[in-house]
Amino acid sequence: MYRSALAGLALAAIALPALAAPPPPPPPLADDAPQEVDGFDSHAMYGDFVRWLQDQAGAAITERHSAEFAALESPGYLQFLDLRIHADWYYRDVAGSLERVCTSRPDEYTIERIGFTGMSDAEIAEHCHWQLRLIDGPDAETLALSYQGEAFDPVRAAAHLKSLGIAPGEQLYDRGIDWSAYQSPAPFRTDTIRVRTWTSRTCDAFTGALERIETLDPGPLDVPGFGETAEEAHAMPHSARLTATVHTTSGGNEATLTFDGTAGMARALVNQLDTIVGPCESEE
Amino acid sequence: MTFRSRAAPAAALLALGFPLLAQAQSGMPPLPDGTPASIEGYDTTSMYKSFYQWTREKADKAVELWAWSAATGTSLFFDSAYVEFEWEISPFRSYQGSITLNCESATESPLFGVSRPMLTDEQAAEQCAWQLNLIDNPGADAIAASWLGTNFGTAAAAAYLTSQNTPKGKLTYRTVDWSGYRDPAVFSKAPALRVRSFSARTCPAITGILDRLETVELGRIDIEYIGEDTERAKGDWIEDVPYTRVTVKSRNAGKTMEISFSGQDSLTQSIRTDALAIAENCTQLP
Repeated sequence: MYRSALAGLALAAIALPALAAPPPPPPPLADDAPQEVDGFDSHAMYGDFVRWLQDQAGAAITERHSAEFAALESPGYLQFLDLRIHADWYYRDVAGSLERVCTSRPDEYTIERIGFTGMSDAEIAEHCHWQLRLIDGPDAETLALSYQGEAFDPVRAAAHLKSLGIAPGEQLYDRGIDWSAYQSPAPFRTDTIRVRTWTSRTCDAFTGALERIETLDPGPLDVPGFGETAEEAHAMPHSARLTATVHTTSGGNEATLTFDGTAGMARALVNQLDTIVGPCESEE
Repeated sequence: MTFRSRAAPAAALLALGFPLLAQAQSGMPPLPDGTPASIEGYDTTSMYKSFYQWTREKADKAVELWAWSAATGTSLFFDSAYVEFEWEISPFRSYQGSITLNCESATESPLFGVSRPMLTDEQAAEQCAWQLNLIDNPGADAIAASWLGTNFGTAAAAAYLTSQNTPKGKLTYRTVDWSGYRDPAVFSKAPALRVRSFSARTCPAITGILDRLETVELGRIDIEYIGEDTERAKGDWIEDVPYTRVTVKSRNAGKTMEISFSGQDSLTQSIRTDALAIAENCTQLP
């Protein structure tokens, strides 16, 4: 179900608690794998390596998201929405941005104008368009699995830990062991990362989606623990964690609103992104 | 990463990586007339700019670290800050603060601090109180003045760089750790730094801020140049009104919603003036 949701990238489906079950365990080690190598417990090494792979797949998406953002920022650029979906079903993370991008002659803009919109309304209408950019790793799990189970070599793993100065019997969990000399994580950044862009130049659905987003109202402020406070929603086991950050204005000030969870405003925003993803073709 | 300011305070420009422009705006004290363009192979102007920027960062960092400490409060496991705010009044002078819900253990010598989620409503009413924390650095300008301009000491600075094996030529401020030349710890101590806390038990004005925040209607989402744009500061800089950022934790659909307001408009400015009034009129916690 998750796989099909990702294939079409129905974002709302990803954000739903689709699977009320924990993610599956990694494939077992080979039948003839030793229990320990030179005092290093094979299962402990394997568990730490698998966690590192999961982290690397997520980091690849985060890094690419940052790099894309840095490359885009220019006069007229406006990021309206920043989106992150973290799933406890690993390798399903998504990063996204709904943004206005402008093309113009670079020499028209000087350094002094950076930080300002720097373009007139007419220039914006002529040179700018909206785009939705989504980054995920649809093949990251397949890649990670190819390094796991029978492919995991406890002898080489033990040699790697020794090369890092880690002694047998030392705790491996949660110490940030770098496994990159045992297995290069580069393919997560080069082979499995996917960047897709929908643009208002070819997709009419942007207009309606943006207009509908402008009707959304997050309501009044409600400081938790002060006065009458809305009850905190219970955590839903194994649901993805959705974080949506919106850049808007409120009372004449710049305002950045960050919504957590899979309901309310976060969900409403994602639903509108789906009205772009659904009918339109992306550019990869 | 998600910066989109229209107004462009110096700090924001720095965040964008344009330190020179920010310096020009903030008025870096000039070096004495006749200062050579190069000393011991180091470009004097870039050396001075590097030091100036490093000094600004250290002054700001001292306030930031104490503000973080105050916002963390007694809670080890739960965030106790529900409102945070900050503004600058000079290149070296800044304020940061928070409104926290601080809870005390009912027993003596607790191993860990107590947080609101660990208490019932009745216990919380008894043991918790809202607190305003305000950190600023009233002595920072004087320290900076004693280090900059005619007090910079170009020859000594160049000698320091040489002793650090810093490559000759033009410098960028990120390449130099000046802490062996001037001790940044002075920014973190009284009288340069001032740390004040006030409790709502003796200062009801603190809950007055929260009361007012709870009346704030955020209004509809407004995407720039889509539909009717709401009125906003069109990049016009208002002299002598500090650009202020206020961050509020709130709820939406039972989950966390965090809102950051930045600007010179009424909401941010009322938080700033209220915090200053509380510091002026209320009794400080020991």
